[in-house]
Parts: sequence; structure tokens; C-alpha cells
Amino acid sequence: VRVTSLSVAFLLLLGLAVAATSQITGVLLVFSLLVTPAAAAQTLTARPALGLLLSVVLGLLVVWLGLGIAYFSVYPAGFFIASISFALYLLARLLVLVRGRRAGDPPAAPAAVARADAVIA
Amino acid sequence: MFSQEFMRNALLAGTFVALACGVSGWFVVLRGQVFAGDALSHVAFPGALAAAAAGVDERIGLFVATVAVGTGIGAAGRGALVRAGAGAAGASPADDTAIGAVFTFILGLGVFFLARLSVSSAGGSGIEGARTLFGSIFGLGAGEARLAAVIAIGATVCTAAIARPLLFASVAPDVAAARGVPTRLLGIGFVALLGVVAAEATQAVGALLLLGLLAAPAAAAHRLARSPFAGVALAGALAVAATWGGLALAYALPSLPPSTAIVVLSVGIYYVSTILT
Repeated sequence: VRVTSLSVAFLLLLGLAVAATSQITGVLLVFSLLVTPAAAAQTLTARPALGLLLSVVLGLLVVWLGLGIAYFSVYPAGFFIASISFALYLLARLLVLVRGRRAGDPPAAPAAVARADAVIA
Repeated sequence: MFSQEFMRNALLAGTFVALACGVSGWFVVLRGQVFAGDALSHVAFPGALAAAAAGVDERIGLFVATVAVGTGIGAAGRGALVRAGAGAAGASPADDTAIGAVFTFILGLGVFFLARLSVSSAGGSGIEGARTLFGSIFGLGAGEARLAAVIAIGATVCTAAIARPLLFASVAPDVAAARGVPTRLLGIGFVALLGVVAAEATQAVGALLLLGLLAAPAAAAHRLARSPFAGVALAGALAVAATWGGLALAYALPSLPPSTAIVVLSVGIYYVSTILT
């Protein structure tokens, strides 16, 4: 597997995703759609395909709810999106905690998170 | 250049803030906590805005936000991730994900306070926000500059005081713990101290550009210096040099903001260090 070109391609895609997201949430809140739903999904399931699906579903939920609430409020949508996705993340952590800690928490990818931040900054 | 009062204030505050950034930044790089440092600098922004919305001195908000989040990161984290050894063994903590989730939420609160400010009668919030994000070192008064210098010196002295056990706890956490070094307490104390440095440096280079002053000179020192304490000293010296150079450049070129000049120089120093080694 060509690791280097794969990682370059992934970072390019990540850059595109960040650029697209920043139009919705603003540059500083990109994380709330890029990382937080994914982190919630990964706390809930360790299975890759299911996690991917869950992450997308949670992201959609966050955006729809956030935009919906922001429509009826004077405050910006970014604030609601960030708060709702953080609440979902907390909920996911709580759920896992309540279900009892199973062996082997799904490992998140801190390096990728830091890289995403570098792309944003 | 030195006849201008705003320049003397900027030099006084900038020098010691840079020193504190360089010295604590060396440990940040060593402990693999660059992302935590970034998060701390970002939460300075909502802190200042919240204080402004509540009508108190924005510096109080800065310090409360960064020190509280710093203590939280230190307490909730699984400790330092040292690049050699633990990092390669896949023992990397999932801390960064949690930090990312929390600090985005706090940034979201910042947007909320920004909106509140612009809705309320306070006004001028856009300027306030931009000053916090990108710094306003040329706008410091004499009293503010003196206070900034005193706090930065205090933070540097505190970091120097815990330097030896912190180094031990960072490089060999298990051995240090076995020898009776309070590694967990040290970790929490260090990130809280980093919060103080971040709040202080926000006034100089701003919440968004702080990482340049915190990580770049320190990373260069890690590449160049052979022994730990030479590295700490070099990191401090490089950060101070970048600040002096940046302030001089910004004075010579009025269209160039000082924060930009400082960060460009410190990143330039890192770039040169990668060529040298």
C-alpha cells in the first residue's frame, strides 16, 4: 500500500472538507462537525463501517437541529451546532460509561486530530 | 524606536512573555502536548469575550478560562505522551479527541458571547474580538505592560522551579512515579501554568497565533540543543529573539502587524533549524 500518497490524498480531502465546513460553522468551529460527531461515533462503536455511518448520521442531526434552532433565534448557527455536537459527544461518553466499560476502548487518532487543526489554522 | 512609549511597553511585555512561552514551550514539545497548548490558546478567546459580555476586565476572563481548562486537561488527561517509547508503542492517549471536542464547544460559547455583545449596547465587539484573536501588543499601556512582565516572570520562575522533576516525569514517567515524584500533580500543575502563559501571551500575539511563539522556538531548540537545560535556555532565547525582531520589523513597516512579524520570525527560526540539522 502506498502510504505516503494515500496520506497526502487524505490530507487533500481533509482540506476540502475543512474549507467546505468553514462556510457553515466558521473556521474556528470546524471541529464541531469534523471531529466531535466522529468522536461520539467512535466512542459508541469500534466497527469501522458502522462508525462511519453513525458519524455521518450524527453530523447530519447536528446540522439540521442547529440550523433549525438558529432560524428561531438571534444567535448564530455555529454556536448551536457546536453545543449540540458537544452534547451528543457527552451523551455518547455517558452511554458508554453506563453500559460498563468494555475492554479496549476504541483508539481515537490524536495525530489526525492535531493535523486537522493544523489544516484549519 | 526606543523613544516611543508604546514601543518600550511592547518590548517590556513582549520580552518576558516570549521568555515564558519559550521555556514552557520546550516542555510542551517534550511532552507531546502541542495540541493541548493550542486548545488553551483558543479558549482564551471565549474567556475574554465572556468577561467583556459580563462587564468585567477581559484579562480576568482570559486567566479564568485558560487556567480552568488547563487544570481540566491536566486532571482528565492520562498524562504526558513522550514521543520516544510510549508514542511509538501505540499508547497514545485519546486525550486529543476529548480536548478537541471540549475546546470546540468553548469556542462555540465564544461565538455566543460575541453575538451577545453585538446585540447588547456595549458595541465595538468586533474590535474586541479581533484584538483577542490576533493580539495588540502595541496597544499595551505602561501599567498593563509591567503587570504582563511580572506575571510572565512569575510563570517562568515557577516552570524553572519544577523543571527537574518535570523533566524526569516527562521522559520516564513510570520510573519517576516509582521514585516518588508526584507525576500526576506535576502534570496538572504544568498545564495550569501553561494556562497562565497562554493568557498572558494572548495579549501579545493573540489567541490564534500563540502557538507559533509557544511551539516553534521550542521545537527548533529540541532539534538544535543536545542537553535538556541547554534546550530550555535556547528555546527561551529564540522566542525572545523572534519577539525583538518581530517588534522591530513591525515598527519599521507600519502596515505589518507585530503579531504577524513575531510569528513569521519564530516559524522561520524553526524552518532554519530543520535545514541545519
